[in-house]
Amino acid sequence: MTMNKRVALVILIKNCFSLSNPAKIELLRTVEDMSEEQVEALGKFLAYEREFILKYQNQIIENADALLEAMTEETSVSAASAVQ
Amino acid sequence: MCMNTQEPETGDMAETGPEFVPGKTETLNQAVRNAETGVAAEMGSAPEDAARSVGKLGMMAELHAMSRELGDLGMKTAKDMLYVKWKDVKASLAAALSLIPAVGTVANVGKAVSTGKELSAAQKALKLAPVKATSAINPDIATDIMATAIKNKDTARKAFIESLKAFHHHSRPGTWESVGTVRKAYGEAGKSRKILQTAIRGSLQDSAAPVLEAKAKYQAAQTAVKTAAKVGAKNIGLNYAENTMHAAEVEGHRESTGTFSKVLKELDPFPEVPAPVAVGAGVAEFVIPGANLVPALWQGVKNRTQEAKIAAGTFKEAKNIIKRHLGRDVDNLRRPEVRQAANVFVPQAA
Repeated sequence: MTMNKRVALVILIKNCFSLSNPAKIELLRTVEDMSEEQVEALGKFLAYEREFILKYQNQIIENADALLEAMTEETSVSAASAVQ
Repeated sequence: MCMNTQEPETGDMAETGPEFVPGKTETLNQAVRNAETGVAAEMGSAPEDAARSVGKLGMMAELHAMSRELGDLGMKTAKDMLYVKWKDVKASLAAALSLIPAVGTVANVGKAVSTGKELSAAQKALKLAPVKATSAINPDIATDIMATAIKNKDTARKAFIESLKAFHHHSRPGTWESVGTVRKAYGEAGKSRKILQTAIRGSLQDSAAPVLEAKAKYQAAQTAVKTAAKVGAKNIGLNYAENTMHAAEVEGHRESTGTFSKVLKELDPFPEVPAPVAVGAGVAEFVIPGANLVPALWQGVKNRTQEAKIAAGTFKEAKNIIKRHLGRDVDNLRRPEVRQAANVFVPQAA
């Protein structure tokens, strides 16, 4: 059975990667009032976002790892400065 | 990967959901309620927030890395991906901007992540400068090195702000070229900096001449960076008026100022971001919707990581928790109902 577009959009919003939780809540509350064009546009964007993440997930996680490493270094430097 | 088994299953309903019938919205309302409950359950969780923020920056960095490859290498695959597929995404995005303007800054933030790293490197160089200076024997040279480091930091800050402007308009053909030029200039500056560092080490044994020569090269490279940034801004200006995307963005932004402000409000204030960056981004915000998100995102990630650190006891432990949540987010995208939902909009999604 084909899933209807608005329900599909709700699922994509809930599971999307780049939106924060408060932004997701904001969007979910507007789905019912969206025009067909908006539903199509946003749904397509989130579907592409999903495709991009799954295709490049290793690189994305590597980037995130590097970001966390950089923060670790920064935290160590701050701690050392505080001691001094 | 850890799966949250307590979360309400939006998909169970969706997999068996009937066709949408205009006027009969109970199915949709139930789906929204389930999704809201699921999202709300995650709110307030520091590891969840941190993981999503870090993942978002990781994704943007990857988008930026791909765009850089396109500029430098002209890879056909990347071109197809970015110009064809990303073009489709942008077309969708233009219409969706009235709903979620923040995502319009994806490439913008991607660039800022990269430039932010360079800014961070410049700041580190500045911190290290006194150490290098004291070991360079000659006090005059030490002063020069300090001045170079300070200029380097200022240049990076300016480039950071310029990049916010440049990458917001990533859809414009001239921008790719401009950004490539800026990147190349940065590469040259980096090489010069290495030469300068080598020369400083050499000055312990030799004369000051190699240091001064290297510094001159480095300053020339910095000038090239500034020039490239100006050219980039000019190209953007030329493309600005003729690009139809711009009209959509402006219209979208006008309609969504309220939503956009709400998105911004959820982010933390950013006291630790260097003042010129924060002020520059704040000013840019009047010109470029979303520019202010960049320092806010950085600060937000840092603050949430800090919260996670406190909760977990050690940063290493917190990092593992964040990575685990990030992995779960990615895993969720593979769930059958999410794949089915994606297929509704983009058939044959993986």
